[in-house]
Amino acid sequence: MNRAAVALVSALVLGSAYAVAAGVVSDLDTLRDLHRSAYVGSAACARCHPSHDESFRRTFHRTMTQEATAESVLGAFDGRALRYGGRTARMARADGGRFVVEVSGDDGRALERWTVARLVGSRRHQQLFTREGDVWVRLPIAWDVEEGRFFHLNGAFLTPDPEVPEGGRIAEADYLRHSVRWNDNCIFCHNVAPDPGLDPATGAFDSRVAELGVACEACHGPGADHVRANASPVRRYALHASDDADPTIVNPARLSPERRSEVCGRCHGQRITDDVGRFLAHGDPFVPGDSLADYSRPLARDTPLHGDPEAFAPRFYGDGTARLTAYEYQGLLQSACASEGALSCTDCHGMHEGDPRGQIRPSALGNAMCAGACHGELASDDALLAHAGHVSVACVDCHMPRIVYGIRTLHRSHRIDVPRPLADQAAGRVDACTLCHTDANADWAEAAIAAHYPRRLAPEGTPSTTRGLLGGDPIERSVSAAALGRGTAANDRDARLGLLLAAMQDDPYPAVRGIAWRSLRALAPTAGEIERFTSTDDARERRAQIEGITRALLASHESISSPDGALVAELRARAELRAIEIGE
Amino acid sequence: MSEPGETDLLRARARRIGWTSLLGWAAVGLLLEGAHGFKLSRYLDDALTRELCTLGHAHGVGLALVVLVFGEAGLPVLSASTRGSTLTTLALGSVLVPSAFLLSSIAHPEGDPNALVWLVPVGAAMILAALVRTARATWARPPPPE
Repeated sequence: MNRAAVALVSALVLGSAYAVAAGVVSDLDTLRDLHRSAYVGSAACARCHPSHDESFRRTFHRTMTQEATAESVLGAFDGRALRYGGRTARMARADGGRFVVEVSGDDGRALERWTVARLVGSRRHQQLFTREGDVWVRLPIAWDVEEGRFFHLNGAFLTPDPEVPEGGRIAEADYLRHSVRWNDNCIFCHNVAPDPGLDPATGAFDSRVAELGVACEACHGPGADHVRANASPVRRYALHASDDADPTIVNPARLSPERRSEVCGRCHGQRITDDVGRFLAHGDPFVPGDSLADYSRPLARDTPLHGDPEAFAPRFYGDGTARLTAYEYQGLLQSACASEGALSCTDCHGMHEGDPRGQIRPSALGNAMCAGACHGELASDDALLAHAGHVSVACVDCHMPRIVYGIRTLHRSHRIDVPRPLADQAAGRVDACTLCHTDANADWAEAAIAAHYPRRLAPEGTPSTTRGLLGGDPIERSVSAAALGRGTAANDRDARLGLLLAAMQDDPYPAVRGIAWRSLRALAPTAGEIERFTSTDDARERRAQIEGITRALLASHESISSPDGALVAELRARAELRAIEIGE
Repeated sequence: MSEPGETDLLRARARRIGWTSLLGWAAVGLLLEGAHGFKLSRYLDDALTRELCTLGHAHGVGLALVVLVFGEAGLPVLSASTRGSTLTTLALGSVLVPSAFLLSSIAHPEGDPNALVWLVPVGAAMILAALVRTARATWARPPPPE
């Protein structure tokens, strides 16, 4: 009897085990349509992936969008004020701990009072949003995380100073020029599964996201099926024991380089769609692993908008290289490293490793990525010297120069290309050579490259950075101002000080003045009250501040070589004063 | 001086197993405290490793005590024909469960113990089988004296 019972139980156990195993094998072989799966949020992922969760939580992706709380607000809402355009914005805490921005006129009359409800950004800047009914609206004041002070958005975007009428108070439209709606702008790239929920009939929004910020499912796809399926320990251990992919989730590392980069390109590559209405009403249907081209295409210099082929041209140099951030995907597509070498974003950037600022993989730092992956012949200092004529510069300094404008800073171009100074100049770019050789111009750089880097030829003509700083369009001026502040800049310190002071005083764009100020501060961090300089202050206040800085520089035995007045006038006359929209 | 009976021999075996096991698993507890004291990052930084080691230590100590109690209070209620096999089953299970917890913390995949953790339910089934047999025996009529 006992033997029969044991045999029966054993048969049942073995039969059940076989059925479970067969079910798991079949399940793992069944492809899923992840568009049908639901989102669960990163907390559900953390239960089984604590290490990945921990490494993700370090990143600024996580805090890309947050509700305004005492923990998430970085700005100093301690009653401090920011005066701009004939108004004073005061940032303070109100009853119940709310964060408020109160704007008053010079006469002290209250003009606006906004409660901060939502935040975007946490690394360099934190933008503030107030809620008005069903929409969140960006406030004109933001917090500069690195500087530790508030700034007006007119000093961040590439638009000229607004007209200042008698009385000094700029128009409300100018003060609020960069107010945008979160619901149909920021929502798309700063959250998981964005859905603006616009009702085209009423214009009302019912905006929803699966999770605020860029979290796990932005890159791995919706996780409900994955969580449900892997509640089975048999299934999990079958996966642990095999190298097979789990069809219930996307692992970008298993995608082709093209598809992998498209996961990043969804947000790091401004796109346009033929079906804007569908995006606004129901959200972006893209799920990692999809082809981006199924729903949208990346913006290019000649992408037409309402029949206008020049609509997006200001966002690109003449050769199609992006001039703004959030076009890194376009840069990658234009690079031979990707088209001929299968380079993808995640070869250099790791979402779960590296310094959160840039998220460069430790294995890709310095020249390790280039020399380690495809250009092993350049791994030694001798080979690098023979190749580039320098050993102290990194591959990216020449092949990914800092010519891309982000908000209040310059970034590396992600179009990995070869410096061609004259062609770059023709395209409106400051070439990589003269970004360091700031006392030389493109002709010199072209000749130097042609002669394979002999010692310095005598520069003729105006240096490229001088021409760019004083006579370029806003991005060229920003690129040159940033280049003059770096330790690599080759021209004399007194000339750099003079050029930067001139730009801080007279450039018609506050954003460019701000970049010039940062460069000057890098050169002379203790010059008087340099920290007090505010690029959005009016010309009279700026002059007073610059005079103070100049006095301090001279008192510390610095010499300042101001650029020739006639040259400045000639170049300023050539400078382009168009506004360049960042394109949110 | 009379020869020891079978129950006495089994009780001695249970004592050896129980006290030795208690010593071993208590020593593991000391090691875990040491890992805390010396801030051993490989132990402290991995929550799952910590949990599995703690489970191993706690189950090891607890089950060692169960074996000791079984030797004193369980053996007498069982019939002579089942005493030996029940002790063996209980002892094996009480070693298997904590050992599987402890060893499954080594080189485990993210979020899960390694595959050795599958020995935990096997050991638990053995312990339960021994406990069921002992509990049933307490409800039956007393075995005849040896």
